[in-house]
Amino acid sequence: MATTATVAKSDNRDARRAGREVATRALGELGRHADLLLVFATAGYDQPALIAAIADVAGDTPLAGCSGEGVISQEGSDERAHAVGLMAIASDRATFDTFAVEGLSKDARATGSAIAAAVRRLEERRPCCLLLFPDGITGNSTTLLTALQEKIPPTITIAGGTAGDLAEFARTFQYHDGRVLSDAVSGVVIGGDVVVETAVSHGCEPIGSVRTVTRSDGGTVYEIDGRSAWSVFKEYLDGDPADLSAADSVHLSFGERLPPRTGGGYGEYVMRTPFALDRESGALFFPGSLAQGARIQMTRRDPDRIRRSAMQSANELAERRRQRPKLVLHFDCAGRGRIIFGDHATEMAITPIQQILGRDLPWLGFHTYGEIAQLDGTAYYHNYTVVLLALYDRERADDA
Amino acid sequence: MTREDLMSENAALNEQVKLLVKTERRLYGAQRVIESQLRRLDALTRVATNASRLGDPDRILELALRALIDALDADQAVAFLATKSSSARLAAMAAQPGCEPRQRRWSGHDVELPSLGAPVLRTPHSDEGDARLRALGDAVDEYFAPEEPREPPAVEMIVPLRRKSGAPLGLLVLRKLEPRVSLHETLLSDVDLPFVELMATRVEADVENVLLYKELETFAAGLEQKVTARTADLAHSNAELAQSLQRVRETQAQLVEASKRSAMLTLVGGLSHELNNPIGVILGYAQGLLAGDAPVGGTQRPLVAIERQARRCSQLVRALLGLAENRPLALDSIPPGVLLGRAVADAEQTAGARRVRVSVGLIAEDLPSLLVSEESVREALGQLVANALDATAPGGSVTLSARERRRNGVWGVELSVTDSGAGIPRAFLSRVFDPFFTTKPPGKGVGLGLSLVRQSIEAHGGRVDVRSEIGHGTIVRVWLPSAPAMAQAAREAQTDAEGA
Repeated sequence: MATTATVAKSDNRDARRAGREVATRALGELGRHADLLLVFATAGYDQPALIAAIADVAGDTPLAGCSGEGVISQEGSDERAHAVGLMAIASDRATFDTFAVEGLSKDARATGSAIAAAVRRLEERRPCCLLLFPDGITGNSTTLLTALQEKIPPTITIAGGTAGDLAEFARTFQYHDGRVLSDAVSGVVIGGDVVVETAVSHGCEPIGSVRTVTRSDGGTVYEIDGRSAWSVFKEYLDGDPADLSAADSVHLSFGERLPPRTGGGYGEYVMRTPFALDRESGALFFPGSLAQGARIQMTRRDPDRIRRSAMQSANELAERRRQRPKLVLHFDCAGRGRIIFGDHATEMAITPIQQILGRDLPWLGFHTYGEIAQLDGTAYYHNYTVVLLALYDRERADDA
Repeated sequence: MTREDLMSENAALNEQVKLLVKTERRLYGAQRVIESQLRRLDALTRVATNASRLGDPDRILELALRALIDALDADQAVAFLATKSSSARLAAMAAQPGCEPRQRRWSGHDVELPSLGAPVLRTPHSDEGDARLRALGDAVDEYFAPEEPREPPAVEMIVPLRRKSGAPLGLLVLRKLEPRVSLHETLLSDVDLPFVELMATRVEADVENVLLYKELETFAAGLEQKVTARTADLAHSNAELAQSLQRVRETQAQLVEASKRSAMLTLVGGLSHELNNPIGVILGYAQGLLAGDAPVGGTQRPLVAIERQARRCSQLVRALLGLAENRPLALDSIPPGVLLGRAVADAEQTAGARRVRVSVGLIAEDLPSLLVSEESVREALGQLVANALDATAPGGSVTLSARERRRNGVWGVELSVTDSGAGIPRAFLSRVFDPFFTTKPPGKGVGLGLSLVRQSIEAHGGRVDVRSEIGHGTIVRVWLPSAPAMAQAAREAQTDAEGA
């Protein structure tokens, strides 16, 4: 039997009602036993109540997901404080193993190693994809990915997005089966006779001179070109802000130059956005990390470029396999929704992609604090980026 | 270009880039503000365009609430509509799908209206002292989630609605349930008040129109009922009047019939009486002669008697024919004084024999002539003078006079015959013109005189009346139209005939 998936979304303000509603609808439409539930919800909900209500309906069906800045489905993008989407997947081709590892902020490398160990334990399931939903504010995701990739085969596709919390940058939530965690990484190892393909694009444009990170420690950048990182960044902000605010800085980021690549239209930079400021030292914290000596350039977002890049990568994804996906997962930066496209975010940035890949496909995603996707076989943490993942049942040609 | 020049240019370009980025950020901010204003404008337009077509306060309120929810991202919105000056019922509701109750229902419970002069922004515990606001909030909670206790809303906006007269119309209540909002949402705040008040003003106007229309309809319906009731009353009254009129007509007809029968009986009785005596005399003599009885003194006396009694019958028949006749009158213009003088002259011999003085009394100067049949009027006056002489004892007087008098808008001359006789009893006055009615002793008159007088005078367009008082005599007044009045009437009749 092929892989099938259904999606339900709710904007009921009551967590219990919303949880019951999405679980009941998605499982009802699926019509068979679900092997995996993916859940993405905005942080306005009472998160434990939401997940408990889903578990009340779905029982012990494996569940993974996280809180986000908005929920993406075929209905479009919903960035209100109360929105939840659930994808129910059933497949006798694929295997789905959920996991969660806590303590990301304490030791991102150890967290990555723990996840790699979990993947290796599932070797007999022939893992082909690793979905990651890390806490979006506490840990260094680049360190996490580096540690992870050192210990798992490069054939495993890594993709995902980091959790958000309504731009408060205080506490995000990761879901694992019936649990709601923070400062953790939840995820799914997908194995079996399925294939995944990903596409990634950003649409940011480098501006100004190339700069150098002159002092940093992991994700914390103290100086750029010998000056405090905050003072350099602040020169591009309007007015004289006392603190780092998403609303003020969401149109800007740093682009870190990538190693020379073999192909693809992604560009030469991976985006790096500061998530926290130490006002005393003027240091900025980047969940994507910026190594000392890294060559960086300020970038600005260009709405038209964002749109064109996303459509181009969706076209590439569609043409890569002449096969209809069973489902699509969509991890899109919180800075690429209403904050830049306003009331027309869905029509401008979501629907055009869905029209390329299929308006009737099971489609679920969320607006992230950071995105995880591979470039030339290496997984990177990104900002201001969209990641699309399409899952297909394996065909005979794939076996060959 | 030197290295310094290049660095300087590079620095300038960097500054320009920073400026452009800041400008771009401002543009994003302005774009969001414009979008927010457009949502509000759209909300107002939706209400302005559609509310007037709804014709129902509940539906207008619901439309406005939905528009407010869309524009402000409110979680719950309800409206209360005043039922009395101090209380209201929850009359309309709208909410985002997530907040709609499982079963839609309307609250029939009245709540006390808080007295608000301006909109109120309410946060948890901000209205501890206001029992009416708490009761209002409880009613909203009860409406949306009757079975589940809920935390107070993060913020609630209560906007009073008023009628044009200033009387309370109701309230709009908007709620944000939870304090956490996304980057793109806002809690209700003072900034939103002008927009909500503008919407409230729009709603007030639309609901006011509907209420006025309904009041007008009610008034019109009441008026119609009143008119219908009044019309029914009038119709009933008219029917009663018609019945009364019918009864009056029937009674009149009965009276006329009775009067005719009475007149007929009087006529027949008088005629029988008057004819019976001479016919009896004639029969007696005739039968005696036929039987060969030799009358004393020969046949001369019976034949004279038969001839006299037959003549009497003949006179009686002629009088009766005269009463029935409608002979055309030969009119002459004649001064009233002349008529009176001739009447006195005709009566002087009889009056002298009875020692009653008959004379012409006061005659106004410049009296208009009368256009009458002299013979007919002279006979009438003669009858009146004869009656007066009969009623007047020796030594009494009979006076004839004339004066100009207007009757029913027509100028004429009133001729009067006044005697100093005994007078006519009041009971007989209404019958003196009846044929064969007489107050004279038998053999003195047949009771046709005044009937003939009235017939003659009325044939001239005149009128006769009698006034009398026992012991003070009688006056009979004959009014005849003057000759000019008659001529005018004739001209008008001619004109009417030509017009026809």
